[in-house]
Amino acid sequence: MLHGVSVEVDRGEIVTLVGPNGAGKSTLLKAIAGLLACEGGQVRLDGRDVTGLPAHEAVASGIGFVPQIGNVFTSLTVHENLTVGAHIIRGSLNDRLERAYTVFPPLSSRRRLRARTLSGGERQMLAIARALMTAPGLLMLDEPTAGLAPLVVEEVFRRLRALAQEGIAVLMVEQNAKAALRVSDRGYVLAEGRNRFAGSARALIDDPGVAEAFLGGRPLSARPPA
Amino acid sequence: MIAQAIADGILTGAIIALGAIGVTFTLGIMRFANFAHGELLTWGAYTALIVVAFAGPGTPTGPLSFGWQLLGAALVAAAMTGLAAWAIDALVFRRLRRRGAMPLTMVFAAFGAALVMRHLIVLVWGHESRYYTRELQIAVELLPGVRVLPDQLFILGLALAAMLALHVFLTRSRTGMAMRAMAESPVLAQVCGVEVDGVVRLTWIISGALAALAGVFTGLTPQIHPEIGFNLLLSLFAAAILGGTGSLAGAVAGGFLVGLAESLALLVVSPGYKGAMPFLLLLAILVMRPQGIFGDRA
Repeated sequence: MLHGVSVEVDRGEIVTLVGPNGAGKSTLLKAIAGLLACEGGQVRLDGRDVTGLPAHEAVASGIGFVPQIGNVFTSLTVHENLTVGAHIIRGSLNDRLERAYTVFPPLSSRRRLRARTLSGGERQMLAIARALMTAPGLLMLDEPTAGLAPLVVEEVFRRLRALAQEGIAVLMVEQNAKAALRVSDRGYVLAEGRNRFAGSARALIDDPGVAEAFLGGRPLSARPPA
Repeated sequence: MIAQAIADGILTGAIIALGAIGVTFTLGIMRFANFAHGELLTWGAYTALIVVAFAGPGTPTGPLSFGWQLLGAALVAAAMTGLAAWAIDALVFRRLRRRGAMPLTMVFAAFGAALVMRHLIVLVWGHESRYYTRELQIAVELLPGVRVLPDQLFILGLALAAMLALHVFLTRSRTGMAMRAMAESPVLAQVCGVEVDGVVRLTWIISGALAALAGVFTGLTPQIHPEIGFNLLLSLFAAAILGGTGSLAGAVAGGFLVGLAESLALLVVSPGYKGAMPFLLLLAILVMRPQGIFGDRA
């Protein structure tokens, strides 16, 4: 349940939602993606009202979503995953597929393999590449680094940064809040279904209240030098 | 003896496989056990009978007992039964799905639908057996001691061709990939822009069409009666579960295994126990490998 939460993401920026479990972060993403019905509120994309569109129309309107669990089709090959990702696109997918393989080279050599054979990091790349097949204006990711090794986490964040630089609006939910905020432009703290704090990522990291309550410890900048 | 039993098992196995594909698709995509699936076989057999009543079974072609008219009838039956399956979904199952019905509710609804469908057939055609053609056929000796009817070989070929066509559709076409995606994860498929209703519709049409072919093929060897589909139902479910739900290859392998098990069992037990074979197989699978041969869901 969400109450009067308001989140804004501009093209070219990464915005992270943080907050304790059950704060409604994932719910918000699912509602925007059209997987959950909204009782009220509004979703606007580039000025168009896309509130309450069913999921398959939300994709067509330019929203890409990478869910947290089950974000690739494990019984389909890499190539088939990407093809299904572009389901709403009519006509040839060759250019889009080639682009996906150029941006994510590890996927290229594995295109004929079933997704269940991929490593955690490769799966996450496939999930992101799949969501990008429709060239969305807004890319939403639910816990994109959950369960990944630290080096892979950095890799995922670096790629998201690069995507934002190409002009995509990136909205993500992260448990790994501090690391996520470090690559983000802005952040929102949600708790009990409400906006609690909002501000630049730097300000959230430095805010003693936020740090204490949601980031697990004292603000980074207040830490004495080692 | 064993060679003949194996040949017979392969021939019935092909028909069971065709029917089991529909069962496994309903299990995998709609996520319920459609106990009315056997009636789709029956409907297919009787739809072809209507066409044959008008067009005749055709003059026997070569060693076969029928002509091209019966093939046309089988195709019409496939199309009509596909549409009928979709119509039954719209009348019964879709309404329940929209209300968030439990799987058990769906199963009971399927039982209800099955009874209505079977008795509609009885109402129109009665209980007596009917034949597409009364031509007599002479079995040919394929290998020493293995005799099969030319019709049966033709049916086996058609069944294999239908399965191959479906395999190509599922792996090469974008719609087929979307169907497999939906079978694995409906939520992720929706996120990809796959429309649930479209896939559900297509699933019913394919399941119904293949069921109709299975029904016509059963009716050709040699007769049609209102219980032909129902009598096969357990074998269909055993094959689908044996192969692993949602898997085409699984349903095909399961179909042939069930067919073989049934006909090989006849070598050691009396024919009265034949009907128990799918049950025994089903129990054995559920105990030893509940996810099926090709299944990946634990």
